[in-house]
Amino acid sequence: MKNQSESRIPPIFHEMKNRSEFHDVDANSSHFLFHSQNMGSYAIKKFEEKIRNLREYSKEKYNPKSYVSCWSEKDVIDNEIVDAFVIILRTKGCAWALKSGCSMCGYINDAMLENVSDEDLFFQFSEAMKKFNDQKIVKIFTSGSFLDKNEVSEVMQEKICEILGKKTRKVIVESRPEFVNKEKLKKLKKLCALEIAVGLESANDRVLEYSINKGFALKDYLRAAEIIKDICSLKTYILLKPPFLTEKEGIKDAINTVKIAGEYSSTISLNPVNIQKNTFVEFLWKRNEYRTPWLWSVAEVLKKSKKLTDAHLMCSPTGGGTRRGAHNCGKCDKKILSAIQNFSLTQNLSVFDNLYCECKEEWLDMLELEGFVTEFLTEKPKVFP
Amino acid sequence: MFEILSRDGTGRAGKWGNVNTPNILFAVSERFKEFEEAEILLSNHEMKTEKMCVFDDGSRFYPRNLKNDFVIPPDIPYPLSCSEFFENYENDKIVVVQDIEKLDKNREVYVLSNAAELVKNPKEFVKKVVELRNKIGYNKIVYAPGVGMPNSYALLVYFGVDLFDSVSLIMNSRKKYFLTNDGKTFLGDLVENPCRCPACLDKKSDFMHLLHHNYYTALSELKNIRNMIRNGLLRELVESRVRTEPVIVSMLRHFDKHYDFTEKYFPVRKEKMIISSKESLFRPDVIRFQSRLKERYKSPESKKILLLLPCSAKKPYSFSKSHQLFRKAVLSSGNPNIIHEVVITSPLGIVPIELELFYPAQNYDISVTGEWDDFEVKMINGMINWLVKNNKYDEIINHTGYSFVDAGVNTCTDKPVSQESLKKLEETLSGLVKNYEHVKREKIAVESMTNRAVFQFGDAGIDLVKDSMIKGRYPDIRIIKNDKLNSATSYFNVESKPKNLRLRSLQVGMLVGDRGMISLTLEGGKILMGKRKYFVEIDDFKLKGDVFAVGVNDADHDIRIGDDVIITHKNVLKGVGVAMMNPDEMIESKRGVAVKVRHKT
Repeated sequence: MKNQSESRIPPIFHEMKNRSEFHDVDANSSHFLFHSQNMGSYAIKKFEEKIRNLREYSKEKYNPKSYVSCWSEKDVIDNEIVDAFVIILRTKGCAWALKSGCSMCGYINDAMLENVSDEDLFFQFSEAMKKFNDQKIVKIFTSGSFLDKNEVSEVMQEKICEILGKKTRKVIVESRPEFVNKEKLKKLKKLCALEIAVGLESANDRVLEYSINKGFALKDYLRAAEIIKDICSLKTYILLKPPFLTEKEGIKDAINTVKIAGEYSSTISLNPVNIQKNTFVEFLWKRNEYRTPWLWSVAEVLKKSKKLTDAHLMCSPTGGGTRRGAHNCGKCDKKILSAIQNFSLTQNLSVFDNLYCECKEEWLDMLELEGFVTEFLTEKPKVFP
Repeated sequence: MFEILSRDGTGRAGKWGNVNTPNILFAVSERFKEFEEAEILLSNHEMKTEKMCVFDDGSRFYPRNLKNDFVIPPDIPYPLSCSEFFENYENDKIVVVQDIEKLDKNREVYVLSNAAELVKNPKEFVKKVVELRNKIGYNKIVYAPGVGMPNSYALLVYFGVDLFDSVSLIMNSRKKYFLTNDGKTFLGDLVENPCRCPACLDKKSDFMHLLHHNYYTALSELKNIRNMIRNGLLRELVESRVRTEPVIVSMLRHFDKHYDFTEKYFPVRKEKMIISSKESLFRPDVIRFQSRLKERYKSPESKKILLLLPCSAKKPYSFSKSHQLFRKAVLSSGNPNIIHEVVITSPLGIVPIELELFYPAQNYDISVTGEWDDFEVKMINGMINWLVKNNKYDEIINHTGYSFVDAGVNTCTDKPVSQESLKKLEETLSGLVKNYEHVKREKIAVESMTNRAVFQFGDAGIDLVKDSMIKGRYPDIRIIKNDKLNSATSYFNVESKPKNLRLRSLQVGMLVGDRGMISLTLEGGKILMGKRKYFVEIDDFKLKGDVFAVGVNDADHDIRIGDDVIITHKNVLKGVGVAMMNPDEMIESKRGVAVKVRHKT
């Protein structure tokens, strides 16, 4: 099984240094306005700027006719384990990432950065569909928002949904909340069984603002979630351990977010931070100022939050067991990862029973100590001398 | 709440409430129970304890909102690479410091954010520590979270850090490191356990026993450090501890480069100075002796012949056997008072004989092998060249047995004290002095005393000795203004002028041999009044005992701990005494003795 997000990290990244202006955003969207009014503090401006400046873009251009990637993976519909087909289309790129972007997200590395014509996009889709093998679920991802008409035109949104509606039981697309509106969803809902995946990451506005630079607040998510919940189904992505949070706060933050998002979501996907190219977290990580979450933490969040929600809870840690992904000491990683995978498919908490390794003590120490020192305890402990 | 009780350079020992500082905050959490020997705790949850406890309130993302006297305010722990986001996070007692420039001065404890990340870059760490102390003043507590090990506590205390925590001890224990004052040993490599602490007496090597050993080791080193501060030997301890790890040697060297910062905290007088390493040569009090020479010193006018002499183990030099032999040769020349004896020495470079009592000239102890290393030769040559260039000597006689300067007559045939060398010295000197008029002992006594006074008080010292007589038996000699002295009366406060002044001889000060400095009398104080130097300005009250810091309004920034100072209020002399604090502390502090009073009006 190919790991979804891992393959979304492109082997080469792309340069766009001389871009002087950023993409015009959907005029109807409220989020940029919101950002400038409520989050316009000096520090946040600098944070946005720093994230933007860390992106380096390759001079090479992608071929607008080539999709990013596609593969098949396991997923669950109505408690039944099925195959899912994943297609990553190459679009202009996430509207927010083109302006500033999230501190952990490197998906903009895959983007065309300029408009992709309907013909080219459809060509990508058709090429990928050649590998379609009657999977029960199809996930159409764009490294941005499928519902953003600047990435995927309304015509294309409908065309793709219409085609897939006839071929599969469920279609999953991703979108930022500001691109969600009732009319659009109702229209698409008629064409296929739709699930909208929204990355909330954290239900704490301060985390969204000062740690992730998400560009929207909890209330924006809640607005979209209400709409999606009533029309189709909602999948929510939750981030584990965004930067500047201690391991313990990361766990607390994720559990707290599950509690809130669980009210609206049929599926919750826990995403431990992984180090993607040209991102702010990569910048910290290279300086030994950030450690990706422990797999113990992932297990802890799943265990604690399963009791808080009826939503299907899943986690497939990108780069799990590697230095760039959630990892433990190296000896026990495989064991824990397979328990996590098992849980994601079966929702059976007993898979976490009797998991132990010496490094668990170190992790437990760190949960208690990390807050005391004013920096993060990373791989190479900064303890003096 | 915080009171500094002993000062030793930039390091200090004091009391915060009833807790001795410097000290370690021992973390208390679910997994780590309270260490019973701990004097002060660090907790992240509400808890009841008899001991003083500092509470950590978490981050701005998830503040805990703990209610207590000492809560570390919630912060966003930006790492060093995000310095553009730095802020300070404060409540009315404690500040988490990220942006030193924007700090408020009126808090009690300053938590140096990123300390553990900073120490990886010795130069930067030292720079931050100096910046922080300069910004917040001397009387504030500095807490460096996450740093410190038994072998580095001494250095960090020397930098002015007052509080540490047990996090590094716990992490090292988890990694199975057995800590000692010499560094760390992997538990598996410890063939014999050298420790007799309660944890080690149990003869078990599980995590908790190792942790407790490390706790005991750390706490006992802190006690050791406090004692060393009380005894004025912190620098000596630091130089010995830094040997255990190159990175901390670098830190000390970087710190010594901040001479302008460190010097002002160093007392002008200590009992003892041990020169044991290369770093000793850059001690602020060594460098200060050399700089004071360059800033304040000129050789006595009557001295025409420079005689370079080797140093002696016994101090003061002139009391040693070898120097008595040299003195004899000088006296035999027939006109000894035109001969200027200057001692060549490491680490000070040169010591003109009239300054031999000043700290550290009579206090330092250095290993002597009879050989100089390149750095010492270079340093000494520099000092001699400076002396010769800035003073008018007609001749240079080198009796050190080492060719330091190209110019000069070498009178040392083999050893400086051999019959032959001494004879050659005497003959050479006798031949040279014939050409000069005889200079009286009294004249040279005044010139020498003037040099001492200027070395101690700067130019303000000139008037102290002007037109006076020097009486008494060296090294305890008095400066007496005689009854012919009308000019000096102009400095005297009119009201307190005794009617029979003309008939009395007045002692203005005394060179005290052990102290190596001039101790002022009230009369001497009156003379310094006119110069507005070495003054401590107090509120308008009559002195009863010592001067407390709370009563000090202003103080001359040239004052160092141990200096003789005059106590004034609006041009009225209130007394004379010895500074017990550096001037910043006198002005800022509200506790403690600022000046130990010798005489009061």
